[in-house]
This record gives sequence, C-alpha cells and structure tokens, in this order.
Amino acid sequence: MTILKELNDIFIDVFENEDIVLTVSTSAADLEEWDSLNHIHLIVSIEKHFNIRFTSKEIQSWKNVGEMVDSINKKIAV
Amino acid sequence: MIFNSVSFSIFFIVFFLLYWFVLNKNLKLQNGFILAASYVFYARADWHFLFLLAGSSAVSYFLGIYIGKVTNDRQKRLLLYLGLLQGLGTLVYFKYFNFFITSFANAFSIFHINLNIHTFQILLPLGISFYTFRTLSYIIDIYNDKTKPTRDWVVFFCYIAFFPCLISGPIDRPNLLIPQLEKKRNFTYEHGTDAMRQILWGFFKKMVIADNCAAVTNQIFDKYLVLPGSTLLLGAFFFTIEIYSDFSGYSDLAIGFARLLGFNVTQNFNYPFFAQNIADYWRRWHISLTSWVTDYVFTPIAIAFRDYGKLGLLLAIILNMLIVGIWHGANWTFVLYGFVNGLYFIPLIWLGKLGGKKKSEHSKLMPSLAVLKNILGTFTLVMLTNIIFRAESISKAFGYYRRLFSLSLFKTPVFQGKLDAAVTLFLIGLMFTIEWLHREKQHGLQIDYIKSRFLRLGIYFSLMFIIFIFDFTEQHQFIYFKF
Amino acid sequence: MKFFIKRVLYFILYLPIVYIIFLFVSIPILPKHLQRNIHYVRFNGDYLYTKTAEADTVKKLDILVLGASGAYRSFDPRIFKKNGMRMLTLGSSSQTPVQTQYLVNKYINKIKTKMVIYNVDYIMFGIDPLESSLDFFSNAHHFDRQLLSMAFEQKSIVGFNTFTYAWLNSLWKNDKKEPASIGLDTYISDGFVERKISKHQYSGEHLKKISVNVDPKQFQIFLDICKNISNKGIKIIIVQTPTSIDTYRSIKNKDSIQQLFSSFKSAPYLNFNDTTVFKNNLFFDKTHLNQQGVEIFDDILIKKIGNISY
Repeated sequence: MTILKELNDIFIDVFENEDIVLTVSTSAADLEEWDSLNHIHLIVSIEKHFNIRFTSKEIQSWKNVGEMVDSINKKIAV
Repeated sequence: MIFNSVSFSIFFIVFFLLYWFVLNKNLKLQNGFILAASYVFYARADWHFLFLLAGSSAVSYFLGIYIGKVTNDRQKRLLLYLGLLQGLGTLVYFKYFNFFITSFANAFSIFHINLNIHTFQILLPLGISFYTFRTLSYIIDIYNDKTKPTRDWVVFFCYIAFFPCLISGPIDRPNLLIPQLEKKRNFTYEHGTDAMRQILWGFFKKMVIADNCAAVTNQIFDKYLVLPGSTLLLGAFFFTIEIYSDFSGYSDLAIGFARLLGFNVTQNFNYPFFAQNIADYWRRWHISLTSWVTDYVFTPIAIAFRDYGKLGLLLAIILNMLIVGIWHGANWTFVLYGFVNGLYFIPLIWLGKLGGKKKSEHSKLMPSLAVLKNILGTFTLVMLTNIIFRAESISKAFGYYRRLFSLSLFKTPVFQGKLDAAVTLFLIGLMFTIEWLHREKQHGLQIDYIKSRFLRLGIYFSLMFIIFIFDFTEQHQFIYFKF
Repeated sequence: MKFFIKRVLYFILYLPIVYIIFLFVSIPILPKHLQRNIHYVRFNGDYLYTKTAEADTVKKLDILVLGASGAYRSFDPRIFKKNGMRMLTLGSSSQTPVQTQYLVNKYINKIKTKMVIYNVDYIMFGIDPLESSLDFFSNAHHFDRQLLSMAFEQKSIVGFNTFTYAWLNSLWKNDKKEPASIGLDTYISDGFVERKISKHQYSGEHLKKISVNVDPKQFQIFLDICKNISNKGIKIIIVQTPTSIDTYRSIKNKDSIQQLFSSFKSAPYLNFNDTTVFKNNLFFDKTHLNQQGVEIFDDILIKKIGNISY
C-alpha cells in the first residue's frame, strides 16, 4: 500500500466520508470537511498510524497532500 | 467618510470613472491612484494617524523582504518577532494600554491598595485593528513560506490601505489581494451589476434593518433595570439582529465597492443565523477575523496541544475565542464574551461533531423541523452572549441576566414604539426570507437567476423605496410644541 | 463597460419617476406608523392652509403679524377691528425665522401694510426648522421655487418625501376646505385661532430649568427679515407675548435671548411679560393665553402701539 492510499483511508476515517479520493495536489480547499478543527484530528491520526512525530513547522508548511506524503516519507526513512 | 453619505458617493463615482477610463492603461499608475485615494479617504476620517498607517506599512514591507531573503533560521525568527512586536505593540498600546492600567489598578484595589494611576488620553486610530492584522498576516505568511514578499511597495501599501476595506474590513490575506493588485483588473457587466446588487443589499441591511433595530435596542438597554424580562429578551433579540445587519451590511458594501473596481475580496458573512451549531456559526460570522485568528492562533496552539486530546482542543478553542472577543475592544465584557463562546464548543467537542458541513439541507425550500430546531437553538445561544457583548460592564451584563431570567420573563413587554418594532420585525422577516432563498449564493441579493428584467427592476426599485421610507439614520426630534 | 454605465444611468433616470409613483400610491394606504420618513400634516390645527389662502386675497392691511403659535393665538383680529384696524396674522406652529422669511418674501410686496408686528418667543431660534417646513409643504397652495429651496436647505429625506407627496396631491386632488373647528380650537378669519373654552385655565406646574439654544443662522435670518421690512418703509415692532410665570422662570438664559430680540435697532422691542397682570388663570397651557388673556393683552397692546414714537 502506498503512503497515499494509507492517507486516503485515514482521511475517510477522520472525515467520515467514504467518497474521498486523494491526489498529490488535493488541498484543504478541495474538501469541505477539511477545516482547522478536523486538521488536528487528521494529524493525530496520521502520527499514530505511522508512529511518527511532526514538528509544528513541518505541519504548518504543508500546502497539499503531496507535501504531507513527502514529510511522512522523510520521517519513515529516518 | 461613511459609505451612506453624499460625499462618499461623489468620491466613489469620480474615482470609478477615472480608475476605469483614464488610468486603466497603466497598471502602476492605476495602483498609485488606489493608494492616493485610500490615503485621502483615511485622511478625511482621521488624518492624525495617517503616519501610523504609512509607518506600519513601511515596516512590514521591509521586514517582509528581509525575512524572505535571509536564510539563517535564527535571524528569520528575530525579524518575525520584530514585526510582531511592531504590529502588536502599536495595537496593544493604542487599544489596550488604558485597559491594562485600569484593570491593574482595580486588581490592587481589591486588596485596598490604592494605586494612583492616571490613564492617558490615548485616541484609537481608525481601522488599526484591521490593518494591523493585514501587516501581521503578511509577515507571518512569509515566515511560514506561505507567500512571497512583494517588491512593489505601491502594491503592498495598497494591500494594507485598500479603501473599501480600510475602516472595517474584511481582513484580506496577502495571497488573496496582492496577486490581484499585481495584475490588470477586468470589468464585466455581470460582475458590475452583481456588485451593485450587493451594495443595494448592504444599504438595505444597514439603513433599514440595523438602524431600526437600534431604536428598539437602545431604549431597552438604557432602561434595563426597570423593564420586565420579556422586554429584555426582545432587547437581546433586536440587538443580535442589529449587529448582524449592521456589520454584514457594511461588509456587503465594502465587498461590493471592491468588486466594482475589479477586485474579489474575501467574504465576511455566510448567513450565520442559518448555522445549526455553534461551530458552524463561527465559521459563518465575521469570517475574515475568525479565520485569521484560527489560522494564526488556534492552529499553532492546537498543534502544540494535540497530545492532550479533547481537553487540548478545548483549550485551544477557548484561547481562540478569547482573542476573538478581546479584539473587539478593551473591556472585560469582551473577554467574557469570548470565554463563554469558547465554552459553548464543549458539547460539540465531546460528541466529536465539530467539523464539516451537513450535506442535507442544501436545496430544500423549507427547512425541516430538525433543522429549524438547530437554527433556533444556535440563535438563542448566540443571542444570550450578545448581551455581554453589548453591556458596558460585566456587572451590568449580570444585572441584565438577573432580570431576564426572573419571573418577569412572562410579563407582557413594555417599551415605546411597539408598532414601530412590529414593523421592524416584519422587515427582519423579509430580510431573512430573501437571505434564506439565497443562502447558497455569494450574497443575499444575487438574483441574476431571475430571468424577467421587469421583476428584477421591480425588486431594486422596491428596495430603494423601502430604504427611503424606512431609513432611520435621520432622527429628528419632533417637539410639536405648537409655538 | 459602456453598456453598464448606460444601464446605471437609465436606472438613475427612472428612479425618481418610479419613486414618485410608489410614494403617491402607497402613502394613502399605508398606516401612519409605517410612514417613517414622511410627515404629511395637512390641516394640523394651525390653519396655515386657510390663512395663506386669505392672505392671497388681501390688498391692504393696518397690521401684519408674524410668528409662531404665540402669534396666531394671541392677536384677535376682531378686537383690532373694533379699534379700526385691519389685522392679519401669518403665523404657524413651530414657525422659525426660515419660514417667516418665506412668508415675508411672498407677501410683503403684495400686501400694503402700515405696520408689522414680529412676535418672538424663547425657542424660535433653537428649534429645528424642519418641523415647520413640513407644515408648510403639507399646507401649501403653490409649490414655488422658494418652497423647493426650503426643502433642499433642510437636506432631509423626510422633507423631500413630504414635499413631493404634497406636490403630487395638489396636482391630483381638488382642495378641500379646512374644518371650521378642530378639537377645542376655532378658526377666526384673518389668521386667529381661538381656544373655544375661553375660560380654560392653566394651573401651573413645576418646570425643569433649561437653557435654550440659539442658532446663529436663524438669528441672522431674523435680522434680515427686520431689515427687509424696515427698508420698505414699513413700521416694525418686535413683540414678546406673555408667557406663564412658570415658563418665564424656567428659562435660564432668558435675559440673553431677550437681548437678541432687541438687537434690531430700528424696531422697538416690547416685552409683555408682566407677571402682575398675566397670572396663570389667563393661560390655557404653560405658554398660550386663553381668550380672556387675549382680550386683556390685545387691549394693552393697542394702547401701547398708539403711543409709540419712531
């Protein structure tokens, strides 16, 4: 399973919406449920799932799903 | 210059014609024209603090460039702090200095220590809460790599001082407005007419609804000590409608005028009273402010507290709402207002029902009973905190609550001009009906879907007639002494 | 873009026309409390409509009286007629110098009068001229340029709406006659409004002490009116009709206001506030004489006029 697919499952779970299909360019503007409140849930779920820890700066720097994937990859590689 | 004045109308018409017909060829000149007009506009209202506006803009402009250039993290952070200090520092000084001093002295007086502290005569610069947030978001966004610094100082100064939004917002983010300033603006007939509709709707809400509500609200709040609870409930109701129609009306005007110049400015209100829970309400109310505080206060704090689960989230939300509250003014009432609104989120956090949009009631004409129940419930919660918002002090707010929640709640209401209030109520109903029909649209009067030109014109003329017959801004004291 | 401007211009062109139609159609059917920004006060009790109609037919007068309600309630033409003088009062409710000037400009050349009595009172320089303007718009016979400029000077939406509606009504309706009596008041020919219950007496009350405002613009108009009349060779007297003791005592700055009344040096200033004569029983409210008081006042005034040297 690719990181993107795993992320997709997490999104579906957190936003309670089965129809979500992520691409690397998906951003908060594309998903109605993706607001500041759900964003925190998302991050916590991602960190738990991959057993990683992001810094605040990394989290703030993401502009789309693609950049999230890159961050995750970096963390896993370490 | 307030928007509903003859002088502004003349100013804007002249500006509009020169902007599109004379200065349209050269972008730099056109931007320069916007800047000059904005400063003239500001000077007419408050020329003393023009230098502060220009100074804050200049500091942020240069800091933005340096933060973007510098690669050393520590230097970057230092520059950011400098910018935050300048922006927040001036804002806090002008707005909250006296508040801190008096609160400090009051705290000591509880222990019977009398501090002979004098408050200074500090005037509040017009629009400072709004343009400071623009400068701050600019430097913070550059620091976080969310936007690039602009080298064009005219563009930047225009972004800060853009006259339709200078006095009372909306607070645009750099990524929204700066690119539009850097490009040529186009005028289309559809956008122009829709902008005019939005302006008409703004005038209607402000001059008819807001002013007429104020007439009821003011007399009730002035005499709250002797009025029955039922009247106080009406007072809270009319006040809630008053601030909505006043502020959203103003925002419609600002957005409309900006659109006439070819700019798409951020939406500020999204039919907040159709919200079905408090989280939804705050996503729809004064959007440019709440989203600002959410992005720059809530998000970093919530991220930092994310390990503390629901409690962490609650803390972040409360801090968020406290800032939103205190932004409105230097009074403990605003702090309490923010705090209570933060507490309102507790049930939602615990049940995990915070996010997203309910997909159900989008295109139905009549709301279902469940939706209506949610809307009324949310409205009641909001209405009750607005009492704190309007009260001059916390003790007065509590006095109001005490009388409201007493047995006199069931007495018949008592106040002057009941018939006028009934008329106002009817007009409020009219406003909400129109807004409900257009709740998926950009603004309440986006009636371009009506095919009949006759019907559209009829609506415009009727609204203008209503404005001229019901505008309450002119309040003449008719003595009728028969002298 | 040009299309947009064209459309906007058409809209602005049609707006006044449609607005006037809306106004004309809705005001008769709208209940009073819905008529926010319009105050159509035709036949409101000061008989302005009737007395200006009478003024249109008058060629010669002995005395022309100007002023507010003190004027039209204190000078009984029947008493003056007994003394051989034809007197007409052009006074209306809350009339300020702005409206008095309008009347003077309109009538001073048409009517040959030997004397003008300008009746003054404490609040005439301080009240909002809009109130009286609405009276004038609602009861006008002719809508001339001066009346229109009065509307423009007020800069009030209420003024414009009232003016427009009154003008429309005058084109449409045939003028009715004002009723001979309204409430306790009866109209007496030549501008006098008699309080029917002539023995109706004021019992006095505690009045808060107030300082009355003086608008320098209104004061200047007052001086201009006096100058205008005097320059035409017409004798002018400034008269302050009696007011109740309680009112007299409640005006803090009455001395400075009385000084303003006597500012026009070419006109004698007569203050009839004699508290030994005009006790409360001669008034029907705190400022207006009842018929008994009117008779006493007019007798004193006529004697005084006879003894004035210029």
